[in-house]
Order: sequence, then C-alpha cells, then structure tokens
Amino acid sequence: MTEKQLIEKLNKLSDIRPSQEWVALTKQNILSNNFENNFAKVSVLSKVSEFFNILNSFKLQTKLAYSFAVMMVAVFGVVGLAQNAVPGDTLFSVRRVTEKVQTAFTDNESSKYNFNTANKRLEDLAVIVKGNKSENMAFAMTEFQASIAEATEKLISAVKKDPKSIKNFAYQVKMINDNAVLLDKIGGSNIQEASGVLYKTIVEEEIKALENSSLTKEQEISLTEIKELFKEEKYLEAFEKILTNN
Amino acid sequence: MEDKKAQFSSIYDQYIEKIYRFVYLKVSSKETAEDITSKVFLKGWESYIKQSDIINPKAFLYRIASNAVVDHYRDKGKVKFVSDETFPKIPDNRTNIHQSAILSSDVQLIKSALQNIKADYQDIIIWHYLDGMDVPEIAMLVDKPAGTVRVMLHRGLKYLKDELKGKIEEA
Repeated sequence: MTEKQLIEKLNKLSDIRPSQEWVALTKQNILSNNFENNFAKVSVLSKVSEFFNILNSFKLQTKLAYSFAVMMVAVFGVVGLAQNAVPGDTLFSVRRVTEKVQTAFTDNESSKYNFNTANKRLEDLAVIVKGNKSENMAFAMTEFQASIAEATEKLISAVKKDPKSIKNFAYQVKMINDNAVLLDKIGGSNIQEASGVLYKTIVEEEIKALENSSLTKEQEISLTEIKELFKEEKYLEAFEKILTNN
Repeated sequence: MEDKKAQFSSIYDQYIEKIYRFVYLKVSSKETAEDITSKVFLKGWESYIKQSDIINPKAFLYRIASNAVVDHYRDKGKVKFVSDETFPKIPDNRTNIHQSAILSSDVQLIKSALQNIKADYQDIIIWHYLDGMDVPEIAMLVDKPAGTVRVMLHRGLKYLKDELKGKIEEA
C-alpha cells in the first residue's frame, strides 16, 4: 500500500460521527448543570457494558485470588513447619532456603550473619543430641562445619580489610565456643575441636594482619605475646588477648 | 452566565465531533467513547465557568480528552470491552452492499492498527489527516518543534503501514 492510499483510507475515518441525538442530549445535560443527574441516562449502555466487564474480570480475579491464597497458605505452612526442621530432616532444605533469602536483606559481607547461622546449626545439634536422633547427627555435623567454614572465610576477609573488625564478631565467636563446650559435655561429641580450629584460624589471620599494620610500641609488645600464645597452641587466650588490645 | 453558556455552546458545536472521533479511535466501543467525550466536555464546561479566557479551546479540549483516555485505561486495568454495536454512524452514500462492507471493515482495521501504534503518533495522525490540522498548529499543541512533528508524522504513517501490511484490501 502506498502512502497516498493509506492517507485516503485514513481520511475515511473522518466520516466517524456521533449520533445527533446523543450530541444534543449531552449538550443539554452539560449546559443545564444537570449533567450528574442525567449522566446515568446518557451512558446507560456504557455502564451496563462496564458492569459486565467488571463482573467478568471479577470472576477471573476471584479464581486467581483463591488460587493465590491457597498457594500462599501452602507456602507459608511449609516454610513455618520447616523452621523446626533440623539437619537430616526432609524440610531442612526449605529452612536453609529461607535462611539464604534472609541474607539477601543483610550485608553479604557480614560474617556476623554467618556466625549466627553457625550458631543455629549448633542449636540444631543440641536438639538432635537431646532428642537422641542419631541418624541426623552426621548430617548436622557436616552442616555445622560447612557453616563455620563459611563464617570463618568471611571473617578472614573482613580482618584483612580491617584488623580491628574482629571485635565486632567476638560475641558470635565466643558463643560458638561456649555452645560447643556445652554440647560436648551433653553429647560427648568433638565439636569443641571444630571451634578450636576456628580460634586458631582467626588468630593466625589476625597476626598476619597486625604484622602488616603500623603499630605502637605497646601494640608491638602485645603482638609478640599473642604470637607466643599461638606457638603454645593457646588459641583461645591469644584470641582474648587480641580482643583486649583492639 | 447566559453569555458563557452561549460561548461554550458554540465551542461544543465546533468540537464535539472531533473530540468524539479522537476518543473513539482510541477506545474500543461507541459507548465508552460517548462516556469519555461527555466527561471531557463537562470538565471543559466546569473550567470554562471558572476561567472563560481560555485562549485555545481546541488544544484545551484535546488535552482533557487525551488525559481522559489515559485515565480510562488506567482505571480499567487495560481491559478492553468490545461492543457488539461496533461502529458509530458513518454516513455512507454507497448503495453497493459489498462496498459498504469493505468500507466498514477498512475502518475497523485502520482503527485497530492505529491503536497498536504509540499514542503520540496516533494523536498526530488523527489531528493532521482527520481533523485537518497543519503541522505548526500540531507543533503548538504538543509543544514540540514543527520539524519533530513532521518526523513523527512520517514515522507514524510508516508504523501504521507496517501494522496494516497484508490486512487491508488496497484501493
């Protein structure tokens, strides 16, 4: 089709006109200030069509709303139940997903969150030990070690950036150690060993970070003391010394 | 007040068909077009009572109409209702039924093709080819340079042609 032909076709549209009755009635209604009252009469067809339109979409929306509500109940139900699941349970993966989703709203670099997760795994271990769920034990240990490894990795990168940042994680690290000691007493596991490794790694990284920083004389003395404690494998004491000097 | 009524009555007579056509080409049914056009003139009248020194009533009414169409689609969540009574009255001097049918289907095709192109292009095409507005007048209405309007007109026609490709019986 040429442009000329298209324009000719377009010109045909200028023949579109409203009905003269409607034009007259609308004008009368507007200028008599009676528009609001008569408006319903003017656009009865329009209102009827709108009504059916709304009705149709409402039917559709109702179905959608019900489906959505059922789906939401199911999702929230599963997520709710999953919060009580421990490593080794079927719903534990759902719980882990919700924990991952929560991280999306926290600082990705924050190892505080990861330590909290590690602590949660420890709490899970306590539940497993108390409930005598021996079949869940191996899986829970793996989960705990994985979460500790992840938290430590994040902590090391934080310490490399700022050696003083270790103070921010002291509470979480200490809580892990206390829980591990407690758990070992209850269940005779060797979790304390895992938390011991945690202290060793943290102290080692902190020493490296301090060695690369400019220190005052006092700080240099305390760094020497920390190194000695580290050599003697007194990791917890070395850790506490770092905290008091920071 | 009677003076204002007389003045607005003359504006109404002058533009009712144009505004109706402008709205009708953008919505799906005659009833909706009547509904929106009524609201446009009611709003126009209300504004005219408050300030009768409206310099360009045509631009003023088109602006209200344009916004009313946007509001209409926003309120309805873009659900379009297709009326059984699809077309408003089109004076048709042809006696041949076949030719009448072709005219009617052409109108529908062009209307639907127009609705598929961008609203800015729709407006300019309607104003220029249907209402006979020249480029400088449209430029003033849309607050754009005349050159831009010319380019938009050209592009609009191209898009419209693309939309109609293979759908319409060529004259």
